[in-house]
Amino acid sequence: MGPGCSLYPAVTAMTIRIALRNLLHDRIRLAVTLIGVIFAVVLITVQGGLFIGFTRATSCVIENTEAEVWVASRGVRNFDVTHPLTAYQFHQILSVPGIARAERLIVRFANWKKPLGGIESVEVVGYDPDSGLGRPWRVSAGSLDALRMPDTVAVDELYLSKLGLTTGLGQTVEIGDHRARIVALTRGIRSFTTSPYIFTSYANAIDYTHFDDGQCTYILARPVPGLSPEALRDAIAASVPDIDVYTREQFAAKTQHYWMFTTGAGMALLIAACLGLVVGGVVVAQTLYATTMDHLPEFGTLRAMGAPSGYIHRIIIHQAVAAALAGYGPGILTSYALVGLAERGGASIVLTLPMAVGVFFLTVIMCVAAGLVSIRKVTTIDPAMVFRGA
Amino acid sequence: MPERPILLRATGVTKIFRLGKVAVPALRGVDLELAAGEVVLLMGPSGSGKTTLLSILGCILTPTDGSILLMGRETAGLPENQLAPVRLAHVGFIFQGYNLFPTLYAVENVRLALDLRGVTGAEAEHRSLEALAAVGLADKAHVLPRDLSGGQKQRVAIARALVAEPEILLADEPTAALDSETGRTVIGLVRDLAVTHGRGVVIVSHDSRIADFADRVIRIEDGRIVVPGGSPS
Repeated sequence: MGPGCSLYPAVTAMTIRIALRNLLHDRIRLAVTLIGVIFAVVLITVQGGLFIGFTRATSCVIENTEAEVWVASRGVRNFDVTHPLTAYQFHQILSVPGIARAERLIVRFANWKKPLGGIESVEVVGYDPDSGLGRPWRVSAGSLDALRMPDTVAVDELYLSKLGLTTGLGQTVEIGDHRARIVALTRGIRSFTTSPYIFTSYANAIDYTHFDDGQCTYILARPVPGLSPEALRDAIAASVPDIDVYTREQFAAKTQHYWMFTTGAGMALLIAACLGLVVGGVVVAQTLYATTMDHLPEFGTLRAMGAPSGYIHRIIIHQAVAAALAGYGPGILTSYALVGLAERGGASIVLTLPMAVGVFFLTVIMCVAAGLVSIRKVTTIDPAMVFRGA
Repeated sequence: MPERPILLRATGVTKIFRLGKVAVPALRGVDLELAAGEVVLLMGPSGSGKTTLLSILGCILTPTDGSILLMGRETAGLPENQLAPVRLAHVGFIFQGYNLFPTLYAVENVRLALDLRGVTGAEAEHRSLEALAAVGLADKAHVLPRDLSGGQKQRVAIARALVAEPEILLADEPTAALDSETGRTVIGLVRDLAVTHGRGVVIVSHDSRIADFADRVIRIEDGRIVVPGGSPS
């Protein structure tokens, strides 16, 4: 910059000027600082996004159904694995006062025989097409009405290749040794497990899963108008023995908690995100500390001149915040790019605006915390160093 | 001629540094007074205690024993968090190595002293430019220290030390890094700017050629004042 030029207006706080100039003084160190911040932002965002994506995937069928109350066999721990309910239990529930509608839902793993050979595991979801409780959503091709016909299923576009399909619609496969024809495609219904969801009618699902007629995995219930889901839940629980009853939100939360925390899958993602925070913080702390050490004589001069500690601390905090601001932008843009790439690869990374805002504040906190090491250093500077030629 | 007020009075100042179990006395019962408008030159060989005395007078170090009355306030024994405001309010420093901020322009280096005292904005800018003009560097206001000569850097440091109008100016070897002529110019400037405004100045130096500019020359050896001052020789 030439004489007379300044990036900063005259009113810019001197502490901000010093902080920015200190940062810009060594461009290579600034680059390392920014790489540290970007690394942390990307790792936190992607791992956090994976966590949210996986969490949502575990309970997406529950949350996308219109049924407010879910009935399962006693001891159910998650949506994907539980014992069947009997036809007798279904009729017992139908007789509970306050039920507007109750339908059976089958959820069971089955073998999918690919058209050109090979087996894949799938998770069959068999619902009642008349009520629509438990039906798929985001239908991109075909028709859900076609699922009323025998031997018909809906699959998600994401899994066409995995399931050995090419065009999808109209292709025929075998599920549990029964014929199945693809009559509808959905878009973006991800399974948390490695087994894609296959939606079909309750009647078809009995064939694919070898359930007895009348058996089911869940009974989905809706309360009469004016009755709350909680009241219906309590009424069913009080009337029918040997079952567990949850509101939709409760069961979604239970399933999420099971997969994300009981299995350790969620903790692994959270730990990875924390690791990003720690590694990024350490990199930023080191580079900020090195910058502080470079400018130690100036900090010593400030101390000798009688600068209050807060004045010197503000310089370092401004450096940290500037590093956070400069690193966050490229970091979040990189994260968005990675999320886009992951979408094409079938991974579910959810990056929402509140999450981006949260990561922003986390980044600022991380950088300020990293600056504490430097603050500690300048706090202990002996002002007499200025007379020692330091 | 009316008697000039005493800005700084050191009485029986002793400083002992502890190096492990060894006690090293740096000052042994030093007495010194600094009046308004007076320039005192502290001279002595290396290790004689000059800089230690300057640090104590400037409230950067505290004496092991003795009294320091600065603007009528006893500062000996005060903790650092109470000494810093005293320095900020009453003392300006000029250092041997200039101690300018390399990333700040000359005017910003000067302005820093005002910023620390809460003077900001247009007033700070105006006063800083005036201070630079007073040391003959009006045209160097927006130049970085790396583009200034040694003498110019020291003049910026003088402007910084004086801009906030402290009563006391302490200078540690201000001419050590300068050639003879520049050194005399700088010291002359300090004298002119300080004395005309009634400030007291203590200069530590090995350079006897600047004694002409001092009202008193105090010689210190082995932590004791051996020539207690008077008219410069």
